[in-house]
Amino acid sequence: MAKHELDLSGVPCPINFVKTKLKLEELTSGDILEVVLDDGEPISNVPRSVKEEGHKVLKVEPNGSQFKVLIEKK
Amino acid sequence: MASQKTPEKRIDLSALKAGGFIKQCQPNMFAVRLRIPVGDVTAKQLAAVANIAEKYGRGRIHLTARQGIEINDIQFDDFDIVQKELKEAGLTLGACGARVRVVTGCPGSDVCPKGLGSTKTLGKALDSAFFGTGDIPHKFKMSVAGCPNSCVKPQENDLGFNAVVQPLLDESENECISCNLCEKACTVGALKMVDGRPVIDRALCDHDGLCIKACPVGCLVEKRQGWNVTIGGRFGRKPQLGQLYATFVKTEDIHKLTDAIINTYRKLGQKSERLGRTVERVGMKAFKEEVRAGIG
Repeated sequence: MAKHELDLSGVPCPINFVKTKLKLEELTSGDILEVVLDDGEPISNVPRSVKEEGHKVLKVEPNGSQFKVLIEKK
Repeated sequence: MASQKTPEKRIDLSALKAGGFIKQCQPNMFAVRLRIPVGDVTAKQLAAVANIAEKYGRGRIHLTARQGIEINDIQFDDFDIVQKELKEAGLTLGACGARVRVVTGCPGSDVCPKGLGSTKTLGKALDSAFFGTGDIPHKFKMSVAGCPNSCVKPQENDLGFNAVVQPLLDESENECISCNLCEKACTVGALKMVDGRPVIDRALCDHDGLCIKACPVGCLVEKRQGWNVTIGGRFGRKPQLGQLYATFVKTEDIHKLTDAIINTYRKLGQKSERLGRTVERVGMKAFKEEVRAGIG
């Protein structure tokens, strides 16, 4: 399973969700995507929205002042 | 020289006002107030409103503070035809005077991701049941909000409803990944991570569902859903916010409660007194007792 990365530093809602969704669409089922998100609205909204799209959120961990979210494509 | 009295001089303006026709300052000009429960209107209806405004008015329309639409500059002689054309578009008139007004509502869970309850369903049901009810001391305004953000300002209304949920950790289908997003989401410090699992202090929880909404795996669920009720809000010259009356009232119990509150207002209220003043005067305890007796 390949691991892909997406840095969404400084990207506001809902663009960050849209970009995550589009990136996931490019991947194969089972692929892992690691997304970097800002604190605040981005980390509060995106993981849940990704779950609602049917993907699996595996992990959320702090990364300095930001967060890294590991997602498994549905 | 005797002047011909125009029909306008024989109109009972107070009766007209009850039916949603409001006198403007210009002679023979009225604003037609429409009934738009929870502020929802279709494109077809808006087109009909625009058409009426241009045909019979001067093309001016006003959006009111409580989600209403008023078509300006309508003349008395056109009342009947305007009402007929409105009816064809599925629109009816709003209320004025000492009556239950149109129920307002925020988008709620049908549209808004923060919504904890269907404000559209409840709001439309309340409007359907109670709009226009008269024989009450003064105007009576109700509003339905989907979450504590209170975008539609339920606490400003005589009767306000606000959706609430009680969170519960349930790992039977989805395991917690200890991401801490729930703890982060809680604005009142009611949720703390203990050994990698959320623990909720029920005394501090304000039931805003933020933790549930934040959870990316679905292990925080709704144990129950209901509506908090506030009573006695008003604005105007002596603004005051409604007081908390009841918590977690189930959707199916709202109708009976509202009916009993309106009846109690009718029974205990004095002329021209808003509900908030009635509650203040008789005391919340006595008011609640009367309402309870009414529910039976």
